[in-house]
Amino acid sequence: MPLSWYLVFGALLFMIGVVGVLTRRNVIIVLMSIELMLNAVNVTLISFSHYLQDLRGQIFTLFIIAVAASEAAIGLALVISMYRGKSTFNLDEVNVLKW
Amino acid sequence: MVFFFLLFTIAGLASAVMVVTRKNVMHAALFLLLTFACVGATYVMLRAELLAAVQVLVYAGAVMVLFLFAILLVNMPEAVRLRQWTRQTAVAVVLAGLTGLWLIIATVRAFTGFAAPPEAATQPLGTPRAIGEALFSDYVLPFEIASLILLAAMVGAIVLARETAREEERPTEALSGPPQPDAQEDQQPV
Repeated sequence: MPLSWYLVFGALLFMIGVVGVLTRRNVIIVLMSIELMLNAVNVTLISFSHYLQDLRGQIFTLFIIAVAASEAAIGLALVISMYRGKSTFNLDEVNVLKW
Repeated sequence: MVFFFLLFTIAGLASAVMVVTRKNVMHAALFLLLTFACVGATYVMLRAELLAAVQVLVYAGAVMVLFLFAILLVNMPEAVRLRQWTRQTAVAVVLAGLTGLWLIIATVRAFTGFAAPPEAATQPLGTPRAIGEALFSDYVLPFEIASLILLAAMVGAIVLARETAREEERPTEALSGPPQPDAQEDQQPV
């Protein structure tokens, strides 16, 4: 398979994630879309790592996975505390910091 | 090989679209699981077997369990009833589509005909031994920082998710004086 196929897959996955972040109101689905975007970046890094025969892409991906896991934990804890405070999932209703 | 590539990428992209469009959060989470599995399969095709295993363990295992717990801890029916899409949906889709189109054109123009070196097919690059040696020699500082980030995330998640529970317990403790015997059961070692 040529390299560009994997890069197109990563680009499409990233695009779907961007659409999810920008259009959905449900905060849990926004977090899922962020995970989709991180996965797209990982696909791109690993395909470059394979086609350039360089291990650094895979090391980067390992760290990205670690950071993504902690990001998911913090994000979902925020969702739970937000639900306790405001009883809502709706991102549009969480506008305390909005001027 | 081309068949499997198309199978896993098309399944992954289709389930990613389902994640973004489903109304029910639980359905979206299950489609996200399918997307993670398909992305892990493409890692195997790129000869990154260790990362495919990490993908399944961390994403399809840990992150997915976190999502399912969060979904189960909050009230699902309300989330299905609320308006699902923001007002700027059309603009966002157009902008994201243009960005994706630009990315695809740029990568296809830059990397068409870029083939893997012949040794890529014979010797896998990301063996556990190679990644372990790199992690503990050249990348030992990022490795330690990653462990600190995980510790901070763990403490932060506990603090964020427990805050209101602690405030609810405080007045009952003040009223009832000494803690009740059944209240201490939680603290016994398991």
